[in-house]
This record gives sequence, C-alpha cells and structure tokens, in this order.
Amino acid sequence: MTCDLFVRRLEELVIGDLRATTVTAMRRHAAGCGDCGLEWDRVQALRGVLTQVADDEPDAEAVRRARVQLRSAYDRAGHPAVRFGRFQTPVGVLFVGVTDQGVCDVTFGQPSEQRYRARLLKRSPEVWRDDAGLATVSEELQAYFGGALTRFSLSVDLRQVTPFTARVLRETRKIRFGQVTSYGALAARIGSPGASRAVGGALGRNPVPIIIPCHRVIAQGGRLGGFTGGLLTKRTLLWLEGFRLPEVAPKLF
Amino acid sequence: MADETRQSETGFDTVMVTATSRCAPADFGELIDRHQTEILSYVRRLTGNAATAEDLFQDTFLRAFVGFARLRPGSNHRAWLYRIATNLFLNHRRARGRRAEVALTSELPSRGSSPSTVHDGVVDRAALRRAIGGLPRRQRAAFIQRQLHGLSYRDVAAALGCSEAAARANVYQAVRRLRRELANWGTR
Repeated sequence: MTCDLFVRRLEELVIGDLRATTVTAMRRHAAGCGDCGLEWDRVQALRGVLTQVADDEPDAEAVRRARVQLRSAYDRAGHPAVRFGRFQTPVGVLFVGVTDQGVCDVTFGQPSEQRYRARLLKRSPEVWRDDAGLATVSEELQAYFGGALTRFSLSVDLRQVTPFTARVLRETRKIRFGQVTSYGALAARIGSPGASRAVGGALGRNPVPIIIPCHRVIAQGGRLGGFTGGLLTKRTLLWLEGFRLPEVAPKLF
Repeated sequence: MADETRQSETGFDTVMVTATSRCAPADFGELIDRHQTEILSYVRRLTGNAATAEDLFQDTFLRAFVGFARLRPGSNHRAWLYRIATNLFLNHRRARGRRAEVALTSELPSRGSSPSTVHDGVVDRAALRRAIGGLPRRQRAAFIQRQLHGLSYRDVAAALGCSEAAARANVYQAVRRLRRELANWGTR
C-alpha cells in the first residue's frame, strides 16, 4: 500500500466501512511509515472517543422528564392517555375509559378487551387497563345499578366532541334519575328550538352513556327514540330507574 | 475494530431491520417505550441543547402518533422515527436561520475535560461534540445516525430522504470535516 492510498482511505477507516483485508494492509503500512503511523493513531483515538460519545446516552431521569412532558403535549393536542376498566353490569359488560380530566368513554357490548384497546389507541398514544385506578367508577356504577345512586359524581372528559354536542350533553346531564324529556324539549333548553334532529344526532355521539344519561331523552308520543347501546338497553336503564312507559314495561306473561 | 463494524453493516443491521418489521410494536405506547431513549439522545446530539431537544422530541412523537395509524404493516418504525425527527430538525433550523447553530452546541454536560489535542492521540469528548455541532445540518444528521446510533445506510437514506449513495457521501464528508477540525484544534 502507498502513502497516497493510505491517506485516501482514512475517512473510511474512521467510519468503519473498509474490508478487513484493507484494514490489515493499512495497519501494516502504518507500522512501517512514520507520518502514516501518526495518522493511524489519530484515527484510532477518534474512533475511541466516538465510541465513548455513542455510549453517552441521556440518563433515566432525563428520559422520564421528556416522557412526562410528552404526555402533557399529547394532552394539549387532544390525545390524552386513557386508562380503562371492564365492568359487569345488568346491561352486560361495560368498558369505561378515563383520562386525567374524567370519564371519556363508556362502551356497551364490546366483545373483547383487545378490540376495545385497539379502538382507544386510535385516538390516544397511551392506553392501559387500570382496574384499581378506576375504583370510583366501579363503586358508582355498582351503586347506580343497585338503585342507591341517582347522580354520578364522576367528572367527564368531552374534549373529543364538537361544542354543539358538548352543549347538548351538558344539558342532558341535568335530567334527573327516573325522569325523561323529549328531543324537542332538550333542543329548546339549549336555545335551539326546532333542532331536535341535531340534538338526536348529538346524543347518538354521546361518548359516555349512562354517566350522561342520554337514555332519559325519548321521542315525543312515548316512543323510545334511539340508543347506541341498543333499545333494549335503553328500555332496561329506564326500567331500573323506575320510569314506566306502557311499552317500557317488560312483558312478564 | 473496523472489520467488526463492517460486519455489523452487512450482518447485524440487516437482522435488525427485518427484526423491527417482524415484531412491530403492538401499539403506539410500546413504540415510545422502545425508542424514546435513542430518539431523545439523537435530538440532543443534533441540537446540542437540552431545551430545543425536548421540543424536538415532543414534536417527533406528536407527529408520529398522528402518522402511526397510516403506517403500512411491516414498516421500519425506527427509521421512520428518525425521519420525522430529522425533518423537524432541518425545518426548525431553517426557520431560525443558521446563525445560532454553533453557539448552541456545547451546552450539554460532558464529562471529558482533557485539552483538545489530537497530536498525541488524544481527542476529548467535548471537542468532538463541538466539532459535530459545527457540521452542516444534513452531514451532522447523517453522521450521528450512522456513527453514533448504528443505523444502516439504507436507514440513513430513508431518514434523510435521499439515496444510499448520498447518505454515504454525507457521512464521509462529515468525517472528513471532523478530522480537519480536530487537527486544527490540536495545533492552535
């Protein structure tokens, strides 16, 4: 190997892209040539420091801090972390998702935890099951279905719905246990008389049924209207709350 | 040493690329868990500034979350994250102008304190970090990815949005420049 060739290969020697045979030839040349020997040592020193710098990673504390900040960034961007629980109730299995602001999702009839998780992950970067963390949700649901609780104290997170839907839902929350109102009356209460269809649509997008009792809104003339969890569930919820419509009463005989 | 790296270029990295696509993260949380340290490390090295790095880190994973659902199965998540971070870095610098760059590079703590001389075979880490911070942006990104994070040239090319040949050229130019810089410091 000539000095000229040796010098032209030094960058690749630093990078580490050379064949083993080339490296051996360079090492041999460096051993017998003063100037090139110096260059060889410089490259090895540089490689040594590069390895040290490569090993110098942010400490666990820096990573933890960055992760905490990332979580608040996700919150601000409307993608909060969601914890969830699975609950057995008289209307079947309920999955409930909670953010740091409150309950953000109540889902009926979800066949599997995996699918529920997958659905939450479409809007949240971090999702995990946290039965212990949802103890209050569990207690209130139990008390509600046992007839001991007529008003949920749980806060709700409505950031994912439109302002109109949020307005409809907040008004819906004021409807008392065991009472009902109509789509039209609710439209009038939010100051949009005549918007009963839009109100129906907004209720259909209620992410937290039961806790925001959209089942207490029924069609005029005593018909049930709609319900995301199915009309049977709506009927059962109203029945549990002691509200009686002729067609609401289950046929016993 | 050089031949080991050579081997990793052809062997280990290839395995890693297929491995990443084979066991894709089950969900986005796992993707963050898996790559948060190296991406934070990457943006810190790019910017040399802890605060700017944290901003870039956040923006990277915010964008990643939005794009995650659209990512094709079998994608190389690691290279994809580097691509997002690199684009943000390049645009960020473009927006701020080039002047502030070098001033930002030596703020991160470094443990090395020996004088920056290469004549007797000693290069200290602080000097190397400063020199890396002085590299043109694309060269800096390519160099850090390849030399400090062990990305294959294919992944460097993907992250920079260029050909593999251009990726190689960027790393090469960066090393050339670093060697020149460090030699100069030694004689000053």
